[in-house]
Amino acid sequence: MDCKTARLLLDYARPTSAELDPGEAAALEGHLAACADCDAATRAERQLDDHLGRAVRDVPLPDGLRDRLLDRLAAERRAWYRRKARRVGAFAAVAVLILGFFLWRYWPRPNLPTPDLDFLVEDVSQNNNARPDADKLQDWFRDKHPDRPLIAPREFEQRRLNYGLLTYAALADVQGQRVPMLLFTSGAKQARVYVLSARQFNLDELRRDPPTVDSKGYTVAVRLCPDDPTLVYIFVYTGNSMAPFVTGPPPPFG
Amino acid sequence: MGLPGSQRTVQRLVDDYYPALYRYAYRLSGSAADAEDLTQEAFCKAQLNLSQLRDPARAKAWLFSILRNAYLHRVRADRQQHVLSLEDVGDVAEPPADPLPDVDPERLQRALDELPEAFRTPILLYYFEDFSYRDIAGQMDLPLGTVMSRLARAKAHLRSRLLPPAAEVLADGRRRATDGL
Repeated sequence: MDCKTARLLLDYARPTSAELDPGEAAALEGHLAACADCDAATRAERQLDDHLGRAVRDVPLPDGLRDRLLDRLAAERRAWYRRKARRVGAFAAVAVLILGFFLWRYWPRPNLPTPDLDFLVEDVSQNNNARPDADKLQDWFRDKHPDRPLIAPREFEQRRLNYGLLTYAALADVQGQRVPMLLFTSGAKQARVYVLSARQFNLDELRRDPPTVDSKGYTVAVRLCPDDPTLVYIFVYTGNSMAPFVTGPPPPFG
Repeated sequence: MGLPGSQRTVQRLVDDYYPALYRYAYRLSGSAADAEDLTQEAFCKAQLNLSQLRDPARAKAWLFSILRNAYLHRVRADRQQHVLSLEDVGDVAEPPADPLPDVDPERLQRALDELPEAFRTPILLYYFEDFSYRDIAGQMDLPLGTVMSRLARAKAHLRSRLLPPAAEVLADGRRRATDGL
């Protein structure tokens, strides 16, 4: 290798980043070992580069920068999940109606039975009379849907749910998954409770930071099941309070 | 945008790279306040788009790229930047004195601020270690030859501004920055 070639390759022979292929790098090092001028020029150039590089990198870090970065990232994550919960809540409230309609309208039904009106009356009567509390609801659900046992919610923010207002309980279709859904009615107000399982949904973030958000006249409140850590309850109710659907005094401020 | 990256992964990225990222932001922008804003913005974007980082070994280059894009976005909105024209960025300077004098931090930042961004970014990426010429070319979407040329001219500018020349004459055969580029 001659000096001119060596000088051209010097820029590619940075100690911190191998840019030359091994053959060229070896040839260059061989030339530098034999040529004092090129070796001196290389040393001077690398010394200068190190000197300027250290100066460029020598920037003091502000105190507390790391903590401020982590705080900002945590705030961004919380904001993202609040927006997501709003979308999930609104979708959950609407998806049941829309998907239920299409399933009822278009699902193929071989051997369609003739509706039995007496059966329907008996079913409604059993629905209304046989589930005055969470335990009876759980028993009824186990009989009707043995593959989807229910751990019924009993309280909302330390006040007992009024199962006398329960008007409907069934499996609802949410994002392609069948989940227990309870409907409470009080006058014009409604509250639905969806029971989501970690076997059907990724609940990590909802469990870590259960949100309460408002969207389009509904409130969506996510609460953890106290008896089963793999379940969450999603309350979707009209207005901004569950007061019409609970009994007992409100908890004291602590 | 998809789910934010896991908290643990993001925190590891912060711990590993926030000093280098902040320092790069400071050299790009010339301001501690802007540098901190840019660093926060880069990590927030990284958190939301973590799924795009397929190779963890490329995390540093990826973060630097996000930050540079954020900086360019801000700069485009601010047209009042006093920089040298590309024509004024010089050739290889004379070899400096030996021993090398200390570099004054304010003079260094002024010298960097004088460079157009197209020259400042390569020299900063060059001096922030680990970045190969191909990395720099990839980040700036430039041919390798253009990167080498801009690096040589930016280095010459910094040397001329920061380091006084030695008394010796240049040796024969020492190439100038524009030769062959």
